[in-house]
Amino acid sequence: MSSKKKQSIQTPLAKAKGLGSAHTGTHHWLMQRVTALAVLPLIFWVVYSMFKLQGADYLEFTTWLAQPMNAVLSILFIIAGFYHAVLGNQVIIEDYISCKWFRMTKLIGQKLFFIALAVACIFSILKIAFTAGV
Amino acid sequence: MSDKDNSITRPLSPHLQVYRLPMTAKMSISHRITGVLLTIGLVLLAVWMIAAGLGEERYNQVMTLIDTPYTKYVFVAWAFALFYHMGNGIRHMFWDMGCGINQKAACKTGTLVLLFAAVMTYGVWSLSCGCHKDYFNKDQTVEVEGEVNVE
Repeated sequence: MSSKKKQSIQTPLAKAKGLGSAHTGTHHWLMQRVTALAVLPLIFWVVYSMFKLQGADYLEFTTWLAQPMNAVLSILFIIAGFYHAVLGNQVIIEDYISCKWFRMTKLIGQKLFFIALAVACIFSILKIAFTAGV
Repeated sequence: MSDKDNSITRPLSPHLQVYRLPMTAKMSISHRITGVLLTIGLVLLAVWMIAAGLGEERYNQVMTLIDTPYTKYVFVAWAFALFYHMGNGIRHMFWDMGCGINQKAACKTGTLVLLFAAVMTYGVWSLSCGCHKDYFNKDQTVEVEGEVNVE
């Protein structure tokens, strides 16, 4: 055993299992609340907008999304909403999937999937905001 | 005593299949279920916006898939899930601050959340397919509805 490993304060069992405090538990909990607070006032705006945009054609939808207020609020909602969804789904996966490799696959997979979707969505909003009506 | 006898007489932990869930437990699992449903809704919303970013042709393709006569009912159901999850989330935040963590208060606030979700959903329902559906911007919504009805 090297001298470096001897200095660790991990118990032998924790070392063998590769477990230990990751110092991230509270961060997950806190961010779940913070993103919830971020989404909270936006919900009314989203429901109202979705209601108004039901069945909107391309021109109606893009002119709506191109308005600065709508574009900014949409981006904020997408970021906070997807962040909140990722954290929530993570807890559900951790609670209900006991098979280790499947759990890890789903945890990483959902994170990458939602990040990709959110980035594509934000790019789309920006593109419409900067090009619509030009 | 054999193992079999033991397992029968031993008190069982509240297992889902034999235990009648109290209202607070039903609300707790509903919070998760609505959370998952809202994630699906968020993905649909993102797909809608991405489709618009890809141009008019793609947008129309996606709209023919999404925009059906039943869409408004899905929208109302989505709104209910959203308002339920929102109300219950606020309830959770009060618990985090140490307010109302006892059986009586939890039942009371639970009823309040259900009432809130019901009232808000009724509002969305009456504005999108009920008796007040022409309330906002009459000239605009009538046009949109005409298109929906044709399809």
